[in-house]
Amino acid sequence: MPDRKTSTLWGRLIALPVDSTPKTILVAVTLCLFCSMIVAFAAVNLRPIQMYNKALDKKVNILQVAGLYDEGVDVGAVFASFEPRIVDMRTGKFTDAVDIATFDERAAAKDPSMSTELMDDPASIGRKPNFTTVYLLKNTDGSLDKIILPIYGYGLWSTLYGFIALEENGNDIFGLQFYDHAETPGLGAEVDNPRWKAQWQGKKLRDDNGNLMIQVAKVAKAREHHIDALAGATLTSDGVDNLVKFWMGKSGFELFISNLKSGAA
Amino acid sequence: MSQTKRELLVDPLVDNNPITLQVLGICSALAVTSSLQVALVMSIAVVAVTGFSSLFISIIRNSIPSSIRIIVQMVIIASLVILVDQILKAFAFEISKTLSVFVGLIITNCIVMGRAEAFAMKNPPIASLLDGVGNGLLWLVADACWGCARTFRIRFSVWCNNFRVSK
Repeated sequence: MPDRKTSTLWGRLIALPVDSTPKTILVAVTLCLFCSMIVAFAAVNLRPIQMYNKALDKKVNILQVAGLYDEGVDVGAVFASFEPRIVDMRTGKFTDAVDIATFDERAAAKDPSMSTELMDDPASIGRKPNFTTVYLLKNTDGSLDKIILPIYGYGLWSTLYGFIALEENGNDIFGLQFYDHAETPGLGAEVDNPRWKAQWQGKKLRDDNGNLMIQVAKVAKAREHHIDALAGATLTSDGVDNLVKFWMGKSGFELFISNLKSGAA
Repeated sequence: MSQTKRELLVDPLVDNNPITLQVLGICSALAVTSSLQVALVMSIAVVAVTGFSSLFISIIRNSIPSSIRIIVQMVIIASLVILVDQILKAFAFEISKTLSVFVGLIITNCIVMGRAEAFAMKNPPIASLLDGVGNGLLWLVADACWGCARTFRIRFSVWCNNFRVSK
């Protein structure tokens, strides 16, 4: 009489020695399925909390770049003093074509119907979004205080996402800060170093003739336009240089800033 | 706890410290110890990964085919590390930003695989769990010392600078 254990296919498989080929495949497949299920379960269930953290972090970064952040400040309340607006990058004017509450910048930047392919692409972003969210900070009398513009581009390993804060004249930099990147800690990630970031304050984007002069470089051409590059992080520095020039230049916010100044936005 | 079990937990801390004696896993130890808080969180993550990976590997040790045993260990370790990374991103966002890639690099931490291969493959689950936690803990102790020293050094140099400025 055959052993009950070996009478079924499954039973015979189980009865095989551990090192046999079918058993090896069985163990590998089972383990992979099990582990991927656990990882997927964790990723899906923790996602809402992570998204909330990211959204909060973005707001904190907007406050920081505008110089309004202190430890323990009520982020939501201070953030309410900003006026978020959608800008159509093709016309450089405010638009209500998309709903600001549900607008997803990163998804829009990849969507062919919401973005334009770039021929000249120094920031290595592939496509330029047609719409971006900018944040205006107003004085109590309603006049413009600061403009916070989103900027991003490729560094060495990753796309750096950040904000640049400009004074109301659209030329003086108040601050620059990245909130999402994966550059090398200790080298490229020193873009987060407060001492490096402090350099941006008071620098001017353009000279008196309106030429875009801002640069991140080792050697200074003109002091008021120069940010010292990071030591040991040439490619990240070049990336920041490229992306700032790109977003502040003709393909970026140049049109919007001039519209804003002339009141045509 | 019996004598041998205590040895499993304590031995790596004192007599056989992987960082100071076996010089295992110091790559990330040097990277994350620039401040004490970050070093502690990283160490807790390492303890969790070494402990549970040893436990799970030990539980299934008799059904792991020897030809793919390293891969099996890696899959278990990697899954645990992703789990830890996801949890940190959800509940300790600021620190996870500071740690960035180093949480992912726990996968390549020599202690984790070293203990899985050397101990968990041959010993029962509870002993393996203790061995894993012990080895992770010692990483914590070594890291904490390092973190303390470096935090202190930074504070000290800042303090010196202040002194110089005020003078």
